[in-house]
Amino acid sequence: MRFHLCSSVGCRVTHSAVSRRCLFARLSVSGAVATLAFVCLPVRGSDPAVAVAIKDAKIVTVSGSTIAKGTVVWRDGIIQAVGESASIPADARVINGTGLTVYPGMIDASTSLGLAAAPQPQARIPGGGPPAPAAPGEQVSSGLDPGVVIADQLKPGGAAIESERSVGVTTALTANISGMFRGKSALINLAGEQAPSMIVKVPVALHIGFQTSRAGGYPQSLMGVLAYFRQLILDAQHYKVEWENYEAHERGTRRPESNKALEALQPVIAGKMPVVFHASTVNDMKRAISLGEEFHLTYVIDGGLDGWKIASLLKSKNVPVLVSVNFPKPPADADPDADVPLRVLEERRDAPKNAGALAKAGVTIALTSGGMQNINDFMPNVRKAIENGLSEEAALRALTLNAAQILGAAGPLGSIETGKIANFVVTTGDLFSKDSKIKYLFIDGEQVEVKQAPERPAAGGGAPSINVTGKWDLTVLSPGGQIAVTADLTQSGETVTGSTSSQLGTAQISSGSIAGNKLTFTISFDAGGQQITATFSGTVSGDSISGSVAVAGQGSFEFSGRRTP
Amino acid sequence: MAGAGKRLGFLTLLVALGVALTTGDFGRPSGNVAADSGEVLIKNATIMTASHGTIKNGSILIRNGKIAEVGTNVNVPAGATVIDATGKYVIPGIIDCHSHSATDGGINEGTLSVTSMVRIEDYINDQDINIYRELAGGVTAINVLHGSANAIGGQNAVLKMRWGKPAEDLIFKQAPPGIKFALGENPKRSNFQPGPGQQRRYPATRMGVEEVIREAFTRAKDYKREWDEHNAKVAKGEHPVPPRRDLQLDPLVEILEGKRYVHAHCYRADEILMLIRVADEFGFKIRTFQHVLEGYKVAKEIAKHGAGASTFSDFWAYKMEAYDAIPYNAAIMTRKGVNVSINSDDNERARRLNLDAAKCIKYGGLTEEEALRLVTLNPAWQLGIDKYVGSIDAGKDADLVIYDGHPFSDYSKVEKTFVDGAIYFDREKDVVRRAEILKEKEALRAKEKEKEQPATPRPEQNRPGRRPGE
Repeated sequence: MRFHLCSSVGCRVTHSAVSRRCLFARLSVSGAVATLAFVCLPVRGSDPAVAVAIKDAKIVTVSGSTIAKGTVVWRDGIIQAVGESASIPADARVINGTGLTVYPGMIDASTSLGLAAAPQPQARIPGGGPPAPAAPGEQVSSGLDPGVVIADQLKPGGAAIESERSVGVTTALTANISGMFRGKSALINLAGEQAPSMIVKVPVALHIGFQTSRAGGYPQSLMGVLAYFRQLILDAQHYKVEWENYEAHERGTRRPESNKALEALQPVIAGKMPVVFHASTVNDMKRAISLGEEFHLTYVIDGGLDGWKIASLLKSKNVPVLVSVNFPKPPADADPDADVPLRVLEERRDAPKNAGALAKAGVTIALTSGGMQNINDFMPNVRKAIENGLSEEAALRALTLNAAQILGAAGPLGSIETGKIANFVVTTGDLFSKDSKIKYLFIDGEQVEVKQAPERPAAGGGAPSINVTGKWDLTVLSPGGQIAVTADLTQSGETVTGSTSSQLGTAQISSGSIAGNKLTFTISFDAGGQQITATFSGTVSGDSISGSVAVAGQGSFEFSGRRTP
Repeated sequence: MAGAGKRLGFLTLLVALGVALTTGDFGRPSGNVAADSGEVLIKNATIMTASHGTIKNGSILIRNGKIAEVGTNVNVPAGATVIDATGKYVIPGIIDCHSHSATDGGINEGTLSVTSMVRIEDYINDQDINIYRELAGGVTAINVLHGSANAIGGQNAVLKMRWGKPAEDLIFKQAPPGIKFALGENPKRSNFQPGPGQQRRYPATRMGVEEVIREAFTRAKDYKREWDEHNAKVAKGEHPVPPRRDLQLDPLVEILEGKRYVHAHCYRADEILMLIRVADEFGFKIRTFQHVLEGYKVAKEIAKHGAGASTFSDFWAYKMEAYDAIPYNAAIMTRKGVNVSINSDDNERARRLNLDAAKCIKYGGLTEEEALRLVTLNPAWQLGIDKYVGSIDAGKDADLVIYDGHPFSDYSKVEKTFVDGAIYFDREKDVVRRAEILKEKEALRAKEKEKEQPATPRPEQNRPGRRPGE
């Protein structure tokens, strides 16, 4: 359980808590973050002054050797001591770690956590054509502004953050998932009542995807995107020269025009702020490399599914890769008899070998969830990467210290060392073992409740590993707007019964079942003389569910929801 | 050096036999590499040189990827791989002067009327299966052009069909840079409605197209002057703030300086004359008129300007401006002194350009060699690569096609296609490979079915394709 003694106002504040948070704010350079220095609100915490210790646990420090049986102590979110015989302060809350293993909290360097759902990439007429028009009154952002700061858009809490934590991730890099310029990313700890307290580092990097303008207009082709980027970088360089010249000869020189976008690119062209290029195919990665080299950028590749094919090139250019374990798979509704090109089959076969091959070639890698829809695939896919040639040691580094180093955050994160942030995953066994469970999760030194991710059933079925009994608040995204549905579910074995109610009336569940972590139920109801049948099918993760609802004759819509306490 | 000769011969043999063919996409010779120093002799062939007639019972010696010797009296070096081409024909690799193959998404940056800043080279797709399919039709080089949506389109890329090599190795390094222009219905968007909520783009008339080109070159001249003045100051030792680099105008300055070829999409005689007048006024040259279906009406003027014409043999009437066309177009322009090529503008037509060239013998009475030049030596000149390719002459790149019969016959098939002396298509190997690929696919599918549970597809990026007719 988390211990919320206070919200943002009227809580007990220790001096050290304030100063630490202010320090982070001061360390950041972006103008947007300067405001944090004023906020500086300690927003969560039990009593951070009280020390916590886990003793007699196996401690995998990552940076140093593993301690077979030792103690780690932290106070106010910062690790105070770690070792075989680290002394435990008198006031410490002591957790018996016998049989447990302590790891640094995992870092997922490719997410959009804490951000509102990104605008959907616009529907396109097959084979091209103009983008679909925006709905009246809707302002579609073009995705062409390099000045977007993710820290300004962060929202704390939410099911996505919760389920990400449930697999042992304590820290995430977050940026928008579509558009050409996807924002200057934020590295956040996945706990906190308010966005500023989640932020570990901002801005981390400028994120770029080879994607066309979302608002229509130039650029609408890949070659246009590349030309747009080149011109913008050249303009930023020119902007710098113009202003330097002006500052040297203010008198008698016409002042250059101020430009926010070009201003935002200054740390990028100086090589001080890395660029994260989202690229997965060989050709896209090469495009990223050629832009990076042409303009002497500090750059990282995010995705990199085909990275193994150009491992030596990546190594020779020293490009770190945030390797996605969101492996391509046959689509859920794939026709089993449809012809699939050999290349696609090979891509599916080879994807799990990627991380291992890159690591062997000496490329610095982090492992990421790569925007996978079901985070429960994260650790199983990491295991697949291990089964396909990535050493467990390399996998662990890729999930912790490497990720921190690539993101320039190895100072406070990535390993269990004195002075670093007390982010830990405490497991009942080896992190990569299928049977291992997360016993505790600590973020900024505070214990966070872990909703155990449901296990995937073994092939051929078995007892369901989830129980959906309870009251659920669901939101259906219909074309006519959101529809709130309350579902009262009772699970018995693999059968689900109950009823739903919404603005359209109440309905009994005519059939409902559980398969693995999937819930499916069908309701029928009378809507103004018309009988409507709707089948909900969703993936359940703890107290949250998301999936689609198929309405006979109307199509299929997304829905998501949560179990009400 | 008999030992060395033997070793080289063995390497060559491996290449010639396609031994290194491994798994990959259909026909993908991922292990096929150019014969670096090996020697290959094609003997007893009917050699249609495209430059100096047809040689019966001739031989071609390939060394270091180049044609070392050609004729009836060629020395056979010890250790050379010998291909007996008795009863077969060899022609120079076909060059397609208007292609959109090997690209990674939409070929039109159709948002602006002047998009000279975009480059085909930036989005070459070396995985495009059409490269291999066109090799199977004897094509060894293509001129990949931007689409025709804009009065001034993007920069082109001339490629060699080195299937299996990465994109950067497909570029025909010695080819001068070029750019696409377009006149008529496409740039004025006559046949394309703007999407709902989208503005109609300027220009909407042929007058407007001319104005867009004129305006762009006026800006380019100003820009060039700005840079010339700046460079003069720098030469004098001053340190002025340089002008802004403009990626849109840089290529237009190169055109004005004669360093970049203009390939202008056009149909009607009036717009062809218009562009010649504008080019004369601004002092630049058009390298090729593309499509140019009414070229036969203004062939003298095209010849006088020094431009080439790259047309279809018998494809027309697909829109208003493409009606006044005749199958004699290529022959008439040839007789009037225009350098003429036949192009495909199409992944499928590209595989039978030999037959499209042959039609110009029936319609217009070109000689066999003149017809062959329409898809070899002439497009080579149009792309500025005739020093390297386009005919079977000693010293040129060994880009060659072996047909099992006369290349102008419907019944003839390509047996082998060479680029730089290496075999990139081999019909015999292809047939074997088809069965292997089927097996590989089945094995992978079976393995997937064993274990895989359905999940999400790999996310696609929003990249536009090409609209039909552009």
